[in-house]
Amino acid sequence: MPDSFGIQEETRGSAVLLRVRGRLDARSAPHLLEVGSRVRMRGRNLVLDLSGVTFMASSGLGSLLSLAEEFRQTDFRLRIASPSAAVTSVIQLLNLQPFLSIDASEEEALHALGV
Amino acid sequence: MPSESDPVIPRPVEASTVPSGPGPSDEATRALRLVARREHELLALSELSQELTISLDLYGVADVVLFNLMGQLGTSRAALWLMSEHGRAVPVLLRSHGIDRRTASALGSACSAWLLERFAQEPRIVLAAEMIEEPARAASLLARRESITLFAPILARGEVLGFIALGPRVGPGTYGAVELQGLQTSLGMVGVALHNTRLYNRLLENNRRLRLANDNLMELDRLKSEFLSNVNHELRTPLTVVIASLQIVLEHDAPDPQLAEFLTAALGEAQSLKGSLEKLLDLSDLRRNVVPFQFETGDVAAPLRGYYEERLPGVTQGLRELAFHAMPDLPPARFDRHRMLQVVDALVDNAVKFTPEGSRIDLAVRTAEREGRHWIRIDVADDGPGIATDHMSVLFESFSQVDGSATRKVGGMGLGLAVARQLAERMDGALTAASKPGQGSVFSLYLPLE
Repeated sequence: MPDSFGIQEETRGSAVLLRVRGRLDARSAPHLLEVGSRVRMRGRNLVLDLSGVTFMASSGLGSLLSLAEEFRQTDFRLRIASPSAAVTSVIQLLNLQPFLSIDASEEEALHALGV
Repeated sequence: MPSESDPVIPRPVEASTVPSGPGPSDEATRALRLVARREHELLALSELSQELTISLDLYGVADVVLFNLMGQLGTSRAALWLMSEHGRAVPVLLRSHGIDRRTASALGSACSAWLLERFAQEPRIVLAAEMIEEPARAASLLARRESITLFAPILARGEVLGFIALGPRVGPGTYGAVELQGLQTSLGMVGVALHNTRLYNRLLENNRRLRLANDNLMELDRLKSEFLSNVNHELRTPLTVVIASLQIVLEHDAPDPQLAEFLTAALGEAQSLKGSLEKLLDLSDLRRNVVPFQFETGDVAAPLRGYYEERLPGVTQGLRELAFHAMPDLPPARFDRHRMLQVVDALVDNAVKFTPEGSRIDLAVRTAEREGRHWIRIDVADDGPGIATDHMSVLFESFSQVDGSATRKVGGMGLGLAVARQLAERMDGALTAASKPGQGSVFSLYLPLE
């Protein structure tokens, strides 16, 4: 089921890389926030690879903004890597690029975090 | 998790990616972008109408609402409060995203009186900047510190069910008339959904209470049978002695005829009484279902999940969050399903009774090591006021209440935890408690592995 939601976690130096795939909607949004918040509470920077997101509903974007705000209020950083077209179109539509730190690839995002 | 059958709503394409054709003007691009944004808002509304059916838990509904509105309007801060159903005009924070929970809770308390007064006059969106008059000034400062831009009422049948707060839009631009209209429309749906969720949860909770009342009646019936059985035993034994004595006197001592007549009458009545008692004893035995424990070996998580799903509406109805976590691949345990759930129910009841609205209760099951052995451990943890150290020692004693005064807020005979511990021990398990004042309590039921 290519559309089913899932998060794969990998530790890269001082950062955690979360590869998100499938539909990011009201059902999966709380899960993304929960997993992302856990990384923040562990005191790690976070890279969200959104290349595998096939659909992003408003709720999915809401969870992304909430997570970005959580990181913004701490010393830790969140970067979004290689967002899929489904993600990019919504982010561009609302002009959220200045708020969300977006990189073209995982490696660029990790590099920006000094990893 | 989503299924393949979920309707997939296509998202609008960002205006700049729309095939432009030969030389569109900036104005045309701006117009396209505006159309795409309006389309995004309409799709968000459409998504919300579907998403509001996902959860029947008030906290789940709050998540759906806040995430949708944040994505719809492009804000990174939002919170939702619901008014208590217990006649107090106190808002209870259900969820906050991008705002620390403690701060959001304080914000709701600080703003509620002024907001509710405003909503009563005119139920409309209120900008935080409007809170300039006393006594709203302090609340206004807090709202400004937390970058709250607006508050909006959640209404159902003309009644204020609660309200939300939203931070500023993180993209360019502020909330315009179109965004506020979209918000108002969304909150109309949210009000109906929350109202229905509350009604449905109340219905489920009433059903659960009816079933419990029925269980209690059956238990009373069993106790009655036990009582009858004991009484029969206590009466039948002496009666047998009385009858035997009378028979011996009548058969061997040959009393005078008048005395023999009395003794014969006494013997007849005693035998009649014994007959009645034996019938009663038979009836009692029939009615008694003397199988106190029915042990099974298997998965503890499945019945606990069933219990959680049944209990959730009632707990959230009381404005406490209830969460369930089960460690995957739990080894099988030896337990009596009914008794185990009876213990867990007593612990959840206890947590609900002794925590304020807005608290969180976690039901979790996992493996644990204790006294050199491996166990299945079921925790019921809350973030309530906790238990004072000097009260911990009497917690599991019969007829003990942490507050034993005549003016205590919480009722009951103090039997719940005592009974729960006895049941745990009868299952070869244990029941323990840990608590720190101000930091909540954790009750742990240990069940033996297979």
